[in-house]
Amino acid sequence: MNTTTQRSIIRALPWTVGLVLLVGAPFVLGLTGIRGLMQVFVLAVAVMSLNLLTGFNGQPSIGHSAFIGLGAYATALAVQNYGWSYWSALPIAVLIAGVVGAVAGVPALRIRGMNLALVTMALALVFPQVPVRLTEWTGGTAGLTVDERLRAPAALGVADVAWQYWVLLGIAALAFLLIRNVVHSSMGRAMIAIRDQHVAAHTVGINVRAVKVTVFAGSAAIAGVAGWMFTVTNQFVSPGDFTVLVSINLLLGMAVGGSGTLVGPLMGALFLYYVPEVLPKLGVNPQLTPAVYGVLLILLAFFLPGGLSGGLRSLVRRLSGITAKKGVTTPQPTLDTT
Amino acid sequence: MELLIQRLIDGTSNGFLYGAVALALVLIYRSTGLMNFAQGEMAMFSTFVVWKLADERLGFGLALAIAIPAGIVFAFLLGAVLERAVIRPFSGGNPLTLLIVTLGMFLAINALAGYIFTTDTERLDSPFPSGGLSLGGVTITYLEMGTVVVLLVVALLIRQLFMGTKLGLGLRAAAMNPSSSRLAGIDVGRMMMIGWGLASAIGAIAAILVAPVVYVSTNMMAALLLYGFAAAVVGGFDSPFGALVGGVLVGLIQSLASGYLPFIGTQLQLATAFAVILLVLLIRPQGLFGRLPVERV
Repeated sequence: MNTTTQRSIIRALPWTVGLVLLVGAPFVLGLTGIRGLMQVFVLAVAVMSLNLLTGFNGQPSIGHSAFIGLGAYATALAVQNYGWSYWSALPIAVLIAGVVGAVAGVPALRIRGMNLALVTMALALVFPQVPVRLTEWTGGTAGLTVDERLRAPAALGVADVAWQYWVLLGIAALAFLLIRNVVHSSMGRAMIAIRDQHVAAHTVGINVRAVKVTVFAGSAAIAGVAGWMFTVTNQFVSPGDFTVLVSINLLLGMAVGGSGTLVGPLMGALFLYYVPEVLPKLGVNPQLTPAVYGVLLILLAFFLPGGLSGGLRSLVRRLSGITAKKGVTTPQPTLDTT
Repeated sequence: MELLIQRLIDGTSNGFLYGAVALALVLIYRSTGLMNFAQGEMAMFSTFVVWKLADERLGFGLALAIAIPAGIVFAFLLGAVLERAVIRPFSGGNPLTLLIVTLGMFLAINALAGYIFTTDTERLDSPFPSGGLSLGGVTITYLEMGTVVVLLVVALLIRQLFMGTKLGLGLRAAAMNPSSSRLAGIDVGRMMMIGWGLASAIGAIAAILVAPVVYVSTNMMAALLLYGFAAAVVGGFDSPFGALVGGVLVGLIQSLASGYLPFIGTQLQLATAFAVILLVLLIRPQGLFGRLPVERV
């Protein structure tokens, strides 16, 4: 066995172990544990979609709560009011969120940076008002309960909750692979080039406009998938679930895990779900959780701009640097005297 | 006809409030180059301070004539302290980081207000007498008149401060070119703190004036902030005069759209702010009175 395959096996090992553990979780964990992990999967896909747009392409969005809300409401309305199955509602949820994302992405061609953040924030503030305006249809502020649940195929003979769990796990894994492959493709390199130097990217022949709109639409579509997962998990949607605060939380999740990294959103999702669970047990008033989030967001931006994954990476690099130093002298940077 | 005039009056009076929030946003944008998404929450917190000082049941029961100035002074100090402690360490950093920092402030101030004061909706009395003047079916409330007068005076004072005093010259210089100002002996840091303090105080004045209508609660400023942003976009983010004009325009558009477009009604009024922001940024991103920045590579 040559070293390259050895290395790739070592690399794949933690992922494989993690996936096997997650697949087996319904046999070990209780109902609350499973439901908690399902929420983590929803959050993970949501943060991944934001990270694709903001982390890799540098287009800030405070509007992802609206795209998730579109997906969630489309699913809930299709299943509850029109008697569709969850599976037939999935493409609709993705399509609606993606189309609105593409429409929102067109102004993003002319609007960059802070202005784009402003437009997306306006979208996030307006979205919760729409179901209220259409109360007869959507249940308004009281929300909409979906009676039907995603059922396991009878042939499998497993509980519906376990089936829902595996479906969400599978979709989250697929979303992760999709984003990984996109980021490693020429498209991904174009995205990162636009983020870092959009004029230079244009100069080297990248179609900046096409890439930006595509990424915006793709990110919104994935957020729509997260919305579908939300409705599958909660069987309930209300305007309060998709406020601008949700968007800010997703940005926090992205910053905590490390924006522009692949594993960052996974860490961010774990953080967003488990920290509010743990804080009250540490004696923190649950009302103060957002305050803790806010302060953390500011501290992270200052001390750990790479997030947890960036911090871990530099830690690993430092540790391996120490071991490597034994015997080998690392070249020292020389002063430029010319 | 009377209904139209009534809508124009209500729109103008609301527009002055939007203009005041926009003015606060513009002052910060000019001095620090960032859109302060926490502006509304800072104003909300200061309004809670006024409520706490003035409320007879849950607060200290002071007269509004004492509570309101105290709240405005508090807002000034809050803005100055936030600039020094939270924003300054990031000065010169990339815009995405600053965006995340202001959002962090948003979350923290919102939650702290709920924790320190209350998450309930509370009443704050109007500093003006109730009722209004009726002229042939059209009513102008004293609150509307007071709002317009107070904000006009504030705008004139700010103009006088910036154009007619040495401090104002320093503020303008520090905003325009910090490094040269530093060489000329201007304490740029102090100017930034004063700029943030002024912006915070103006935001608080707008919030206190709107409080009798929307009541005091932790999310009282969500809508006003968005209208304020819309006004700043219309007027141009670097023009204080434009902010006020933009505010009145946005107020009129909102009032007329919700009155005459049945689909918008009362619930979707915020959508007009969204539409205005989007259209202006697409057609004339620098706004009516702003200057287009030159892009350097």
